Amino acid sequence: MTAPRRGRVINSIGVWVLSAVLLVWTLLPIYNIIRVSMQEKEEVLSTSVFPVAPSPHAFSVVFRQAFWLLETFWNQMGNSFFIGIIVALLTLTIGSLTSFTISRMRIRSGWMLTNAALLTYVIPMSFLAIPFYGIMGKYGLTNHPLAVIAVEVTFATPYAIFIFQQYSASIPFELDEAARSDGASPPQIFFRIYLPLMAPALVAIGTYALLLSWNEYLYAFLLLSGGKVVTVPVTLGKFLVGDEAPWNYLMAAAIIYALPPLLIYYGFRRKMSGGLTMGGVKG
Amino acid sequence: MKRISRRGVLGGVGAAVAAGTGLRPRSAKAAGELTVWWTQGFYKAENDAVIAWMADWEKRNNTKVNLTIMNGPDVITKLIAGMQVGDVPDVVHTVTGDRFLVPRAAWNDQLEDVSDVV
Repeated sequence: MTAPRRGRVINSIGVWVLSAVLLVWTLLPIYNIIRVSMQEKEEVLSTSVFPVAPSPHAFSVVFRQAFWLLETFWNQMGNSFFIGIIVALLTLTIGSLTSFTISRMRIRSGWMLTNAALLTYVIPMSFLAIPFYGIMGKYGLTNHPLAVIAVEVTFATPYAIFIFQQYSASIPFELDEAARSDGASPPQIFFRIYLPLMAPALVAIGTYALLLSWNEYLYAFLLLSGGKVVTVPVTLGKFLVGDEAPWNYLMAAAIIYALPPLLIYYGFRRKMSGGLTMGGVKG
Repeated sequence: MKRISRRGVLGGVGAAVAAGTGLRPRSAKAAGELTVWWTQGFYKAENDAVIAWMADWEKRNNTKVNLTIMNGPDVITKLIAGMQVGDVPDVVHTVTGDRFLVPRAAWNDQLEDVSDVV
C-alpha cells in the first residue's frame, strides 16, 4: 500500500473508532434507562446486560397511577405542560418583540439592552433561589404556578433575545426597506416578514424554553408545595427516599415524562429548515 | 408565632420548629387554617399514619389542615428560604432539623420559648 493510501485508511479507521466510542457513550445511559424500566424490582441491580424477562409492567403502573407515589402523576404532568407551554410562549413573545425592536427598528442604544439582559446569567440560578422566594412571598405568589413561570421566563428570555438578534442579522435588511417602501407599518413588517423568516430560531428557542421549565427541579420544589400544583420532577424526587427504591417505576415515569418535548419538537421540525431568504435579495 | 395549637414532636427524631418573632405564618391570612409540612417517612405506613392523623385532627377541631409531605433535604431548604423572608408554615416536622436548622435559627435569634404551651 502506498504511503498516502495507508494514511487515509488509518484516518478512516480512527474516525470509525472515535464515532463508535461516542455513540456508545451517548446511547448507553438511554439504553440503561429503558432496560431498567423493563425489569422487575429484584432484577434491577443485577448485572444482566439485557433484561431477562422484559415486560411493560412498569409503564402500565405509571399509566394507571397504581403506585402510591404516582397517585397524581397525570395531574402533575398537566402542571408541567401548563407551565412549560406558557413559559415557551412568553419567552418567544418577549424575545421576538425585543429583538425586532433592537435589530430591525434599530433604536438607539439597543445594544445596551442586549448586553444588560445577558447580565442575568452572571449569577447562577441556584444562588438566586432564596431571593426569588422572598420576592414571590412579598407578591403572595408562593405555591402558585405563576411564580415558576416568572422564574423560567426570566432565565430564558436573555438568551432568546441574543439568539434572535444573531439570527436576524442573516435576514437582509433590504426586505424591510422594500416593505417600507410599499407602505408597511412596523407591526405589519413584524407579523408578515420578520416572524415567518425567523421560524427556525423561534422553534429552537421555544424548545429551549420548554425544556428549561420542563426539567426544573430547584425552583419547582421551592416555590410550589402541595401535590396539586407541583410538577413531575418534584414527584420523581420523592422516589428514592423510602425503603422501596422502585427504580423501574422511576425510569418508566422518566421515559413518559421525556416524551412530550420530543413529540413537540418532532411536530415542529419542518420549520427548522434555514436558508429561506436565499434568493430574496438580488445581487 | 401567635398560637401553637399542636405540638409536633414525634418519637425522638422529629422536632417542631417554632418560627421566631417577627415571622408571619403562611396562613395568617386565612385564620382557621393550619399549614403543616411533614418529612416523607421511610415507609409508606408512616406517611399514611400522618395523613390519617391530620384528617382525624381536622375533624375533631374543625380546622382545615394543609398537609404537604416532602423529602428531608427539601423541607430544610424550603424552611430556611421561608425563614429568611418571613413566609413560614405553622408546623414543621424535620428529621435533620436539630443539626441543620435549630443551630442556625438560634444564631439568628429566631427561636422562641414555648414552654408555656408545650
